[in-house]
Amino acid sequence: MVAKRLITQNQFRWIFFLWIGIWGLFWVRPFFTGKSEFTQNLRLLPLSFEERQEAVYGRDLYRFLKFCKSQLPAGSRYRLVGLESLSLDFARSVYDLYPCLLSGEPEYLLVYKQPQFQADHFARSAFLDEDSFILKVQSRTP
Amino acid sequence: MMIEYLLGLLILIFPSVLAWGFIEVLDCQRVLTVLEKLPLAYLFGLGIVAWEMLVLQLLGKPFSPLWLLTPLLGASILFSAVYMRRKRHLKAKPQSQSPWLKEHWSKVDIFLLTGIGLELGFAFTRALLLPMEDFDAVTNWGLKAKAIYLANGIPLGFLTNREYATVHADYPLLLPLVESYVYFLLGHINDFAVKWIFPLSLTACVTAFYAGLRRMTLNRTAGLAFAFVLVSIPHLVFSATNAYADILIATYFGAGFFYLFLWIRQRNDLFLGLSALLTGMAGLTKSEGMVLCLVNLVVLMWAVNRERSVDRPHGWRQVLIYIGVFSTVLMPWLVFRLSMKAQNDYIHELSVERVVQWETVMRMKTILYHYQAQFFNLKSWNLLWLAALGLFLFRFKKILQSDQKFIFLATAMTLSFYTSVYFITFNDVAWHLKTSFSRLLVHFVPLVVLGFASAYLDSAQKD
Repeated sequence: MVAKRLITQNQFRWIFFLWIGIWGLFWVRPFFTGKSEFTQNLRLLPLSFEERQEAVYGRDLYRFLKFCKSQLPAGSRYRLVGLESLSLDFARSVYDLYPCLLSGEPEYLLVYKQPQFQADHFARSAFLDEDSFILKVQSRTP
Repeated sequence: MMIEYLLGLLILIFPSVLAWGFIEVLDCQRVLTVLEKLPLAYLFGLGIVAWEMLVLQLLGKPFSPLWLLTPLLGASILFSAVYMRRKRHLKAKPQSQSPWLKEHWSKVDIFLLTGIGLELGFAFTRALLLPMEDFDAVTNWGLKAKAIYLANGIPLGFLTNREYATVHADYPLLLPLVESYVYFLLGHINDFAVKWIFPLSLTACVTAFYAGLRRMTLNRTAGLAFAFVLVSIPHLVFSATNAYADILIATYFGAGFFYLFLWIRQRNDLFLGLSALLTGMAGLTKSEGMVLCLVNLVVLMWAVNRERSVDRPHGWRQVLIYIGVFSTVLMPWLVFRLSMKAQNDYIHELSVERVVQWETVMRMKTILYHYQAQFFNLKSWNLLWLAALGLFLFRFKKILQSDQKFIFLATAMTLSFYTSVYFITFNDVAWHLKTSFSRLLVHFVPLVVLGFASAYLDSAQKD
C-alpha cells in the first residue's frame, strides 16, 4: 500500500510562491513609503568614516565625544552625566571613549546637556558649550 | 577609505588561504567541491586565528603582527608541503567538481540567484556603511576587540572590571580576537574594516548550505530555492550586519550540523571531522556554543546507537574522536577561562529555591506571548516558523521514521535549552525575551530550512 503523503511537491511549490510574495512585499513596500533603510544607508556612501559615525550617532553626541577624547588623558577614569545608564547613547559613548575607563571613582565627570549640573570636589576644566562640559576632580583636604 | 576596506578584506582572507591548505590535507580522497571548500576555508580561517591567539595568550606571548603571522605562515608552508607530497601520489582528479558554470541555467535559477545576490548585497552594504553602533556590538564584542588591541593581549583586568559588566568575562572570544587581529595587521583601529566578517559569514552560511543540499542529491533549482529561502529571512540578514556574534554561531552550528547530517546519510568520515571542527568553533564563539556542541554530540550518539551492529562495530570510537576534535578546538579557551575564574551569571545565580517556585511556572505566559509574537512576525521571519510548525504537525510520523528526526531533535533540544534560560533568568523575563529571543532564534534557522529541504527531498523521491 502506498503511504499517504500529507505534503506533496506541489504544496511545497505553493508555499514557496507565497514565501516569494511576502519577501517581495517587504522588499518593495519601503521604497513606496519612503522608509527604505537601504536607500537611507546609501546616503552614507559618499561620506568619510567620521562623517558616517556622526550621521549614525547624532551630531550632538558625536561632537561631545570628540571633545571629550581631545581633553581626556589616555587611561583616565570618568563618569558620564546626562546619559541614561545602559541606553544606546551611553553604550556608544563608553565604546568610543575607551581606553579612558568608566569608574565609580572618577577623575572626570563628562556632563552632556546638563547646564545646571554641579558636584562637590569637582570644578569645570573644559567647555564644549553652555550645556556640555568636563568637570575635573579637585584635591580633597583630609 | 577604499584602501582601508580592501586591507580589511585581505587581512581576513589571508587565514582562509592557510585554512584552504588544511582542508586539502584533510580531504585526502578529494571529495569536497570548490563550492564547499570556499566557505569552509573562510570559517576555519577565522577559527584558526582565534585559536592561535588564545594559545599565544596562554604562552604569555604578546599579540603583534610578527607573533600572529609567523605561526600562520609556518602552518601554511607545512600544509602546502604535505599537500604537494600527497598530490604526486594521487591519480587524475575524480569528478568531484561539476561543471556547474557550463550547465544550462533556467530563468527560475537566474531569478533565485538574483534574489540571493540582492539579499547578500543588502547585507554587505548595511554592514560596511554603518559603524560599530548596535548595543552588544559596542558594549561587548567591539569593545573587547578594542581592549585586546590596545593591551597587545587579552586584558584580564578590563574583562573583570565591575563597571563593565556588559562585557561578560565568561563569553568566548572568537569574534573580539578576530576583530583585534584585523586591527593588529591594519596597525590601527578601524571598526568599519572589520565588518566584512559578518556579511562574509552569511555568504559562507548560504554557500555551505547550498553545497550541502547538492550533496544530498537535490537538483540545482531546488538547492537554489532553499538557499534563497534561507537568505531571504530578514532577521538572519539583519544579524549579518550589526556586528553581533549571532550570525557567526548560526553559521558554525549550522555548517557543523549539515556535515553531521551528511555523515549520518553517507558515512564519509571526512564529514564527521568537518562537523567536529565547526561545532568546536561554535563553542569558541558564544556561551550558547557549548550547548550547541552538546546538541550535535547527542545527535551523533543517537545516530551511532541506532545503527550499531556487527557491520559497524566502531561507532563509539567515532563518538570519542568527535569529542576529541571539538575538545581540542575548545581547549585553549577552556584553559584560559579557568585561569580567569570567570563565572557565568546564570549558573552562578542559579539555586533550587529560585527554580522551584510558582513565579517560575507563571513565566510560561510571558514566554508564550513572546514566542507567538516572533512566530507570527512575517516582517522578520517570513513564513519560516509557521511553515516549520505546519511541517511538524502534518509530517510528525514521517519525521520520526526518517533522518529528519535528527534535525527535529537538534532543533527541539536547542529551543528547549533557550526556553529554560527564560525560566531561570534573574532579569525581568519580559525584558530578557524582548532583547534576546529573536537573536537566539537565528542560531538554528539554518537547521529549520535544512528540515524543509530534507522533507522536500523526501517527497521528491516518492514522486
